[in-house]
Amino acid sequence: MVVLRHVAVPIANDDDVAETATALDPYLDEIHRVTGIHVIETRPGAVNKAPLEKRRADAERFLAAFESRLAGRVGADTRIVFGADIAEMIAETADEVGATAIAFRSRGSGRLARLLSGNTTARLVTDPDLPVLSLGEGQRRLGESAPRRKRPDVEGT
Amino acid sequence: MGDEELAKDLGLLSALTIGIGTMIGAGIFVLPGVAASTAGPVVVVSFVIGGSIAMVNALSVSELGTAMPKAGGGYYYVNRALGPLFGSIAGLGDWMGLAFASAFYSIGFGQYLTTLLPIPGVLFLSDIQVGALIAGVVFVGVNYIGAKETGGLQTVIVTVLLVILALFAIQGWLSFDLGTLLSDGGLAPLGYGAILPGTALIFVSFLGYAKIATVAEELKNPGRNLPLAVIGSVAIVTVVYAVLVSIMLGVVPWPDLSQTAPLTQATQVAFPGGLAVVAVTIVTLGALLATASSANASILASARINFAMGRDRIVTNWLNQIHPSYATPYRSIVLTGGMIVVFIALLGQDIEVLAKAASVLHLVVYALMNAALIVFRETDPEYDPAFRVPLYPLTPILGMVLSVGLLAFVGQRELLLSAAFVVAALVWYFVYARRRTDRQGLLGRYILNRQEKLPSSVVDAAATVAPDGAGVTPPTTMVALSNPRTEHSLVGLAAALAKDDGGRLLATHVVQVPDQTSLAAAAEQRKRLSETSDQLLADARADAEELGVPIETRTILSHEGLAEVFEAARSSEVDRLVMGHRGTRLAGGRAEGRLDELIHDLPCDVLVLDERGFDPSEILLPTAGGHSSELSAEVARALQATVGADVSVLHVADDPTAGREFLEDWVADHELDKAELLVETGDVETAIGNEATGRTLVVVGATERGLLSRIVGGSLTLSVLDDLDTAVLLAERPHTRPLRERLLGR
Repeated sequence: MVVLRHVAVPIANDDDVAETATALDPYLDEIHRVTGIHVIETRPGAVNKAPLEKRRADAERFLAAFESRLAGRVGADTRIVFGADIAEMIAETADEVGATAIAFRSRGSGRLARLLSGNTTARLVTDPDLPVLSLGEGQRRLGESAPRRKRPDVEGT
Repeated sequence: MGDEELAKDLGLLSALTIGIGTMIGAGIFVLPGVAASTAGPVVVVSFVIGGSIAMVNALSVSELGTAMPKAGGGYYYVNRALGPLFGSIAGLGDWMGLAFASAFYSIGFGQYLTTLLPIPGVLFLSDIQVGALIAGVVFVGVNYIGAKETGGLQTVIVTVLLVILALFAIQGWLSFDLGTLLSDGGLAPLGYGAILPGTALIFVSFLGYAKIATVAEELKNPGRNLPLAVIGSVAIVTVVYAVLVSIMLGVVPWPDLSQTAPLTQATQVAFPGGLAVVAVTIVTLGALLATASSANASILASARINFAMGRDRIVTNWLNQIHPSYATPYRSIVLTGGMIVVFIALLGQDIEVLAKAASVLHLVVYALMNAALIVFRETDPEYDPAFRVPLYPLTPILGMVLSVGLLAFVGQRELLLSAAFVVAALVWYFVYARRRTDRQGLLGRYILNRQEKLPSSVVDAAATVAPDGAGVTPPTTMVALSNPRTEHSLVGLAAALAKDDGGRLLATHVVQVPDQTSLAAAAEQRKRLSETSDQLLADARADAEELGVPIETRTILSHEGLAEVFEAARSSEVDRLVMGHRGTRLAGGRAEGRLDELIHDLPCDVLVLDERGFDPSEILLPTAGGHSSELSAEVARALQATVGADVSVLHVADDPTAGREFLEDWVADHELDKAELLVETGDVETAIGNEATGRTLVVVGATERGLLSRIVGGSLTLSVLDDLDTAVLLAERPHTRPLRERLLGR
């Protein structure tokens, strides 16, 4: 499926690595290349909410973990980018690396947080430039015999 | 990787507004009434002196900040220059100082809030304290969630504040009356001796400039913008304070000036009738905005200081964990927030205590910072600040003298508090931080490197307070990785051992290059190789971090696998080497040629795990005594201590009673007290085979020299070990290692 040739995958944090990799697993046979993207949210002109050095070190760690989980199965690469608008930066970076689609695990956020920080999921899927694949929980493949989904489950979130 | 420059987006205006926004809240809106009542109209001079002291320190902060634009500000410089003992004082002082300052700003917020809304007092808390607590919790909550904020906002806030203050200044000037200013006892009704105590009280109004340095890593062009913002904000704020406080005191006589909401009162008097209501509301809203922005900036700055301290292990790095959804350093914010709440509740009755406590702690930090500047200039050849203080060394010496000198005027209670704090910070260093941090200060190194030339008392003192980690490398466990499949097991084993002796890990990936490929050609393929290597080592790093063991990683390109592993172990002076074996391959490569020579000259303790994985829950430890069983006992003991392994010790003897005696002695000698004792008779291999069933790991010490050589030579006759389902860990300790070296734990 050509739309999955090069998939940009936003990774938000440590926990997201395993969840996203698992969710991505059923489609890996159809994917050629994955670029893991982490956006470090900045506040242009204002003091950032967390020390950037810490954010960068964390991002390097979990992107490396993500890369090594996929390594050997698909071509994998990672990017750390900085920007005020997470959804916009994901879309921009996906475009920059020549991705054919964006795939991600939607992470729920509370109403208050959504109000204050905007909901990345909502903005990512609204009027996207690239096809956006919202990943379900995926299937943990314990053995080779476990059944594998062939088609992306676009509805599952 | 992304563009790091993108992350530096604080320009000069933003930096300037951070400084002004943090400072302006206190001096104008909160303190004039209290300060005027302690000094009379000359309190204006107190503000000017405070501004001058701040300016001398601002020069030093600017130099240090341009030399090291790093998160953490004052703490960072002091720790670098004077070492972790003073670093602990500076870091904890800066942190507590910010918490006190935030509590102070919150009380200021509460004071103005209660003029707008009726707030009830609760229990022992006054209405102002309740308002302050609400404010404090909101400020902390906003930083916990990390609400969106742009530079525009801070600039708008500061601009609005300056406009409000300018309007007040103009209208106030029109109703200014020199008679009012001098009405009650002239300029200095309480004597000129009240000026400096006044300065000590209002110095909290100048604490904002150093915040710019705590976020120096985020500044665009810090070499230019940092000094301009730091010095500029102090200059602007000093002028604003002097002018506005003079006007206020010419509008309302000093004994009558409100202790809680002075600017509202002065506005009410200065503005005519109908306009007064609107003006008072605007000023009150301005006061809320000003105190809120001061508190906000302080809470943000405190998280930066925690981060810098955590990185140096002066506090636990646990504090600096980033929230998975909000991406904020939430633990640090909650802890700081908790302190703010406690300070408001316990000390909020008297705003003077909070103000002075904040000032005292910052003054201690400033004094240390000036000392740090001198140490950098004198001892660090690589120190190259873009901005240099004028009149060195006069300026930093003056900064030190003024900072310490001002302490004399804060009053006994606050002085005692600061002494208690310094003692607490010292205790913290010696009890907690000293064992963990390994960063020695420039000063300590300078002194210890010049032992002959300096008086021995100085050298002794430097050696006494040096961190335990400095100079002495912690024990190192090297793990040789070759295969992603076994990485997890090997790092798990190595990390458990390293954790037991408080040491660190050195993970190496030895890439064995075929002989026909030149190393230069191999280096060209480096990209491909390094991808594999990076992954493997990144996994190792992730595993080690999860287990809480410090780790270093290294990739080695080589023609001779095992020899190179041993060579690396030798040159890095590691204490033990962990590697995997599969069939006759060790550490992923076939050791050829020099095998015997190699195996008979082990660089350190060697542990070889087979590929059946590492699960230390049920360990079988067969022993017949002897040299290498010391090592297997050590390993079992470490696994008992770190991962709670159940250890069973097996001895095969002809006579069960003698066997049990031997085993009891052996276990006691090796301090394996919680082990289960198994004594069997008959064939050794059968006994091991039987007992291994159902257990997860068999640890075998090499009985006589050469167990390892028999594996790699393919002549291992302990075939039982190959037939087991249980994983086998072989342990061999070099014979040749001199006792002295072993005692010193090389």
